[in-house]
Amino acid sequence: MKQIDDNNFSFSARAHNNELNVLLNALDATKAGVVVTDCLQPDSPIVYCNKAFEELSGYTRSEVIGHNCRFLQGNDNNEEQRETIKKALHAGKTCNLEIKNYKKDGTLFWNELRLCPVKDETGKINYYIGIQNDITRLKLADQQLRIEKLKVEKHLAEQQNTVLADDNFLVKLLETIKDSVLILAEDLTITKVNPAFLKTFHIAEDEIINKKFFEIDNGRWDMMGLRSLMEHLTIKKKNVQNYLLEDIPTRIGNKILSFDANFYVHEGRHNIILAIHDITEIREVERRKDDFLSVASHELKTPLTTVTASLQLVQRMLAPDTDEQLKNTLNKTKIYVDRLENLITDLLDASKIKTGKIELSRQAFDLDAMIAKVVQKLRKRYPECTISVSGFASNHYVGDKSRLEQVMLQLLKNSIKFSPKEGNINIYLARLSDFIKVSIMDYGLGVDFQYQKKIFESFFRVDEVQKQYPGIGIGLYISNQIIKKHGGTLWVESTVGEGATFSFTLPLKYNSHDKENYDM
Amino acid sequence: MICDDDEGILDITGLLLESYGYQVALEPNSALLLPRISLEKPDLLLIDIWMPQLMGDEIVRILKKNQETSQIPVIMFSASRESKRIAREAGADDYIAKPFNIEDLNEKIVALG
Repeated sequence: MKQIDDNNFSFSARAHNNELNVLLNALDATKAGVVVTDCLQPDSPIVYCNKAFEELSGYTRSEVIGHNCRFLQGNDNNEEQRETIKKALHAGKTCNLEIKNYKKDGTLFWNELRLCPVKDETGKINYYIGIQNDITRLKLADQQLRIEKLKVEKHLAEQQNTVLADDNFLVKLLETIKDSVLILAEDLTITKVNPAFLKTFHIAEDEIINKKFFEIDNGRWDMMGLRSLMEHLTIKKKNVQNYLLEDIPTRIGNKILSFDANFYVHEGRHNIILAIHDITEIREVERRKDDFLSVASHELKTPLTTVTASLQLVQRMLAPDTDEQLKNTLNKTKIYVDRLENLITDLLDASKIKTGKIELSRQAFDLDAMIAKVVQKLRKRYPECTISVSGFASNHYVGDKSRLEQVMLQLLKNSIKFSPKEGNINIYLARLSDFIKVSIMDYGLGVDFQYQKKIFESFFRVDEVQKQYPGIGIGLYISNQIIKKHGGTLWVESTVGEGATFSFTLPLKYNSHDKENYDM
Repeated sequence: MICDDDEGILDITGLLLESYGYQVALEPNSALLLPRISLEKPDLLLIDIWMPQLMGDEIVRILKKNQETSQIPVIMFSASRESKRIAREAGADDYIAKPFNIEDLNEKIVALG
């Protein structure tokens, strides 16, 4: 199944013949999760997964390709099982085991795992196939579960009955909460309304009680978005959370409202509890904050342009015999002005990402050469660091070159910054299936497990790190968003004190629903 | 010829380019730029995007439509990265972000010259 290009395991992208296509469909039809890992690549990354694996783990294909299977284990040690796997891998044998794994949403599941090696003609193992089954349900003692469940159900039913019986309790509850609440019968007749609703929407109780929902304010609320929400509630009878509708014409102006809905069954009938939260103002404040950030950054750049240009002018006008100290001072000033410029650019980028205004300008370019160029630049600037590059990813990648350059620079600068003693950094490039993978490995401080997801959030800083290594905490956020926008994933694996490996994957082809520009 | 409503940027950019041996004409008011261009026929135009009188991309569109001026190479410069798209759409020959490195700007000028 290997392609001529030794790094290209591409059967999942486009099957080349019918037979293979049938086999792939068969794999997707099975109930067991199937993954294939490439043992010839560093850190044995996943190069294939079937549909059942996506369902089982909650991760999509593009989120797992390029990752080592370890991510399923969360922060668990699983030492015994790891030892079993290690032994089997070493001996090139098939192994069966049960291991605690975690889904994307953090739910624990028991995985019945079967690992089979795939060898080439010479007996060398090229791939490992992992077959997985979620046996959590079996693992939990069935009887125990049933008893507990019965107990809980009985308790809940009792509680529900007391609550329902005590109408006064319900009224008091409705009066207390700040969100607007309506209680609707199955035919959308309003049976109860709380004071918050009346106050928020400037409506009197007798105007709406016993009226139909769409009669509110002479049919003003009778609009498409609300119609489909109500249809969803009355026909599908499913709960709704944070259902956002904009431009709802109320007596107090057009509003952005967030709806939450739940049901309670009373005498065999479904009643709808509808909570309405006016988020118009929150949205407005958010918008103003983002606008401010964007305008402020732009306004800061204008004087900075003059300062940078003036500095360059002074540097150009220096006589050749100028005092070294003056030259050094000017060079240092330039470095600090550059740093200021980078900070402003980052702030501007962060505000653009938040408002969804970031645009990718895609073009085909030599990604490997781009990385080599970035590395060369950094080697010059940090001669004390040894940066090595191995492997290759793509010499014809279609993406935003300058944005990806920004990501590489950010990740490498971070590795340098957080490796105060050991200046060794290794970059690995690889092509896996229809993805490319770039890993940057350092031997510095590392990132504690509890922060490994958080560091990609905006303005997040690890407290104890902040004191020694100041920064504003948006570099990784921006990088992550850029990679996401390209359809890839960015993640870190690390042991504190031993270093960190930041990796990202990028898909080689784009989905048709991707509406980015392909200009420039 | 350079056009930017910020006179600080305008003056210093002018001086910088003069230090490279170019002859430079400056225009802070974008509304006066088009008549000046038809009169003085510059070899190259370096123009800002966000200007109060007339937007830079508007000017470039007019220049590129007019047979007499369409051959004049245009470099646009601006403080926001997304302006690159505006510049391309307007028909500019190149774009440089503010703050710029004078060597990069010079390279672009040489390439267009």
